[in-house]
Amino acid sequence: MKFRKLPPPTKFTMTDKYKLVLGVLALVLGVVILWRTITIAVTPPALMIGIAFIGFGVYRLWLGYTRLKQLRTKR
Amino acid sequence: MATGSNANVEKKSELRRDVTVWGSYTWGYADVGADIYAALGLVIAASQGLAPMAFALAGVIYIMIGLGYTELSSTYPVAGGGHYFALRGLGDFWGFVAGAALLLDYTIDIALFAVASAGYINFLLPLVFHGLNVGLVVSLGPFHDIKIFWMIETIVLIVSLMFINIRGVRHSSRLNEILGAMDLVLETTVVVLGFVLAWNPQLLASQWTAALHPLNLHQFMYGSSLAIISFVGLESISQAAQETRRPATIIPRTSIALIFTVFIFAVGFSTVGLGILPWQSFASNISDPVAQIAKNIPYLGFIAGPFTAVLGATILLISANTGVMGASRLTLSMSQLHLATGWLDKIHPRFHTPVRTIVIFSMMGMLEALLAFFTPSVMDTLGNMYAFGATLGYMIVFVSLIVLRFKDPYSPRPYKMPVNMKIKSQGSVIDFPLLGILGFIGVSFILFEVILTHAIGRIAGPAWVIICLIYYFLWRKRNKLPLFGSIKHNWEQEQIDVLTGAEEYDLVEEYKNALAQRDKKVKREISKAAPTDKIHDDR
Repeated sequence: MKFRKLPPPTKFTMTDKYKLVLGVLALVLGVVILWRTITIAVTPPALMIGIAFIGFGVYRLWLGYTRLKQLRTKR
Repeated sequence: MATGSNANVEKKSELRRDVTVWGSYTWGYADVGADIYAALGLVIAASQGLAPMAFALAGVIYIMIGLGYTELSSTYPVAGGGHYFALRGLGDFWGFVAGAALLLDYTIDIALFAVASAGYINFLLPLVFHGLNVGLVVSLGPFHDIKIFWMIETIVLIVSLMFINIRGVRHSSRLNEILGAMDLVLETTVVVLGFVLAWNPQLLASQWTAALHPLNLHQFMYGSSLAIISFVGLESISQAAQETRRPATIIPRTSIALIFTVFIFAVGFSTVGLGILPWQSFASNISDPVAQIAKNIPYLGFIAGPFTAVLGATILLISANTGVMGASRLTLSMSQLHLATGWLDKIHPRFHTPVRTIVIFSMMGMLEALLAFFTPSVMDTLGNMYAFGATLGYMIVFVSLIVLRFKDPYSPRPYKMPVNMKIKSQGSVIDFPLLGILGFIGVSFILFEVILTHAIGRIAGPAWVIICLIYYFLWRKRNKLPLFGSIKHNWEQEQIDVLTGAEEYDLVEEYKNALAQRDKKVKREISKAAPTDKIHDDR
């Protein structure tokens, strides 16, 4: 998926911090759902949603990491 | 012959470019994100323990629809949305059919979400006014159990929205932004707390197994076709495209973010819901399913329930609001493209809003809501109609996407739907969208489900399209315009004007270069062919 480039970030904003926190939360939630599903009762939707949360969390954290890296490079 | 020109939309209508990145996202989210509040109860009641799969099946198709819309609305950032893409790809007639289907959706959007919003208000009112009978029913002739209190609330909500929209996009867009943000936080909180504090995987598993043995395929198909309504609304982003700053840059980002957020929420809510409550609880509380989940979260339910109901009512109201905005902008675009009367084109001198379309289509939404109250289940009836309009419109949009790759390969596409196959057509290489084909098959399947399983949708939906077509033929005949053919458009100049108006100057340059190269190529081919012709002539 290719997007048109946005101008490079000038600072690490509150929105970036919020996105990072959300990423961590999603990751934790995904792990909790998967763990409970596997230990109690396995169903395809629960597995799917657990994996989706983990994927979302990892993606958010990767975005935050990329942004921080861009900022460091700029400085 | 009159020349339709959407490039002049801005000059004529003066729709202002007020919508920012966040505004574009919340505009879409307010519409799509709210769908789950209305659809969750309906889908769980139909699909029972298989509801998460019904949402997932519809969601996968929705992702393809979303990607298709992202490509088209960033390529053609004009207010028309689906009908404009159909008109460019397939001509006036199909442009009108797509417009009629989407217009049905917008008016149903107004009706369904105003009804659902009032449903959440009714969750709250008895808590505030003890003894208030929100379930008051009356009988009128052959019609019984008409929920009169609910009906009056709905009418009040639709009239209020009509006035907000007459006041202008700045007001309603800001309203979307604030409430959209609050709703995002609330939906996340309910899902997270639900999973952490109340979710019982055993309950979900038992309902899942019960639904599979024996499997009721008809009910599952009904549920999955209703589930598509929890994803309807991406059209709003393309509707807002003409009012979005730097649309080609912003729209792909907001659309993709929106697609995945909504998908996770839809599957998440149904999974967490069926792990907290049995499906029968949702079936008996179709009007406020999300509040029912929140109410059953331990320790916090007493506050989470009413709070969810407040926010549910407001976000559903925003969704109804996007219906008013969408219907008015769609008809405005249709009138400017000579698909409907120019009378609708009138802009209010003070508020700069298309006042006539706002009033007419809000009233139409109100009428649909009123009629639905005379059926056994108001939500189910409106949901049926919603699914029909959406799937028909999306099918035409998918065909347009494929055709436009061939007809208009020169327009810059800031975002292109993935999974393409390179093929040669008329001397140039075209990216043939394989995912577009898959999406078309998927939407056709959902439309087939709607026709097969929705008793009201299969009659009322096509009836709406036929009535609109009768109007179209009469109007075009009276104005001496081709009935099945198309009016001549200068699409190239129009595309330049649209991109210039959107301040996408680099895309304007890219487009002009592509056209210049094409012209050069044509000239070269003509000059190559000329000596041969001369020889033939000499002979």
